[in-house]
Amino acid sequence: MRTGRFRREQRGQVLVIVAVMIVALLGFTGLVTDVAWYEVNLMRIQRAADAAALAGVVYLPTNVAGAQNAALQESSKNGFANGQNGVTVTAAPEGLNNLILGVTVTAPVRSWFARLFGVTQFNARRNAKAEFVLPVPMGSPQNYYGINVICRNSDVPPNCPLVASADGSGDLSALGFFGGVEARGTDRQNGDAYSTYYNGNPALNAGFDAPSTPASGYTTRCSARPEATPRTDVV
Amino acid sequence: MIRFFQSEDAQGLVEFALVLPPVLLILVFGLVELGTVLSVAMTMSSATREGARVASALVNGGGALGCSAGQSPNAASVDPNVIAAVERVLVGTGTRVALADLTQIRIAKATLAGAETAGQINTWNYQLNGGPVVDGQQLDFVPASQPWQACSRDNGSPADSAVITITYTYRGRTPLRMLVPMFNQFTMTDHTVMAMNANR
Repeated sequence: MRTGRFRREQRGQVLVIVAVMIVALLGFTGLVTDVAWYEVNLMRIQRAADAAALAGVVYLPTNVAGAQNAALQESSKNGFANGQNGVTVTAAPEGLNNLILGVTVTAPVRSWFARLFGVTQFNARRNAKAEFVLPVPMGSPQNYYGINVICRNSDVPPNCPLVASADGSGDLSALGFFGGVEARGTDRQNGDAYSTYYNGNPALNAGFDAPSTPASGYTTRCSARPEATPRTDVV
Repeated sequence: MIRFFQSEDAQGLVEFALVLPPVLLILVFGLVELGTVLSVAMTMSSATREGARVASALVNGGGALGCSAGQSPNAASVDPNVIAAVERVLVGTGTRVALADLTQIRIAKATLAGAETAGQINTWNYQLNGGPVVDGQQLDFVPASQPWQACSRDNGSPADSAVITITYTYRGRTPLRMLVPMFNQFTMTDHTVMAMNANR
């Protein structure tokens, strides 16, 4: 009688231990699964956010609506469409730098084991930022290195007419290549903080130097035109 | 009495030893398998993202858009660079991807819904050391059908989008694959879409 009771008690004890352990083990398995699945989805959301930011940023700084449109579209192509399945996608330029597009994708990630405790989904949110870098200012006053208008000496930019080509067969486009040249006495606004200073020598050339030049400096314009006849290069 | 006690104790231990290991092993193998699957999923996710980024940055390889003579002079190098980017991630440090089981990489023009456009899908198949050389590294993928020419990729508004898709055959690596047929072998696929970047 006593031994029988002992036996039953012993068996029960082992079963209880096993049951408790299994529950604990399953719980941890569930935790691992849910966390890992969450992580995988975080990566997918990040991917969509990255793609959205890169697609939209090229419309900045002028076309904000176009940037948002492109960003939302690209996020949708990656499976996270704004307003569907609880997904929210926002795209907006940064307040301090309107060349940077910030994209936030918020989406629910379903749970597998946590639903045993009534939690059916976790919220995931990822950000991405992309910056659109415009041409770089290169030290010439108020100009970027690159395309500008070809003007004759008598013209006042930007009212520059088409320029007759050298061989007289037509007009050159008013747009050409512009090189801003830093010279003695030039005003600097984008480059060096220490301005070169015009000391009066040489004297301003009224015909060559632009009349709109500030008194503290002068500018020199160089416009390149194609030669009348193509040159044959000797190799 | 004491002998009884001891034998009872032992019996309990024996039961414990018989019942628990299979359960534990299945649990542990399941965890290992699951971890590996998710690791592969993450690697694939990164790989397609990398490929899509390269495709979106290279567009038509530079130069005037078009497939005529003198246009898109570097178009032929675009797709190999995309494949190289994908492969670099797949074989990077710590990945659990067996490249031989990665049967296919596809570069396709994306539809508005992000799917592949029929008839615009470039297919690259696995072949060890069979592909073109990119940055001194010979690729393990060879081009099959290539209908979406790089020279036709437009980054105007709205820009074309490239979808990079990879298909992987996952093979179970624990004895669990004998118990659960699903873990023996199954196909995983992943893709990323990115728009061609404008260069203004």
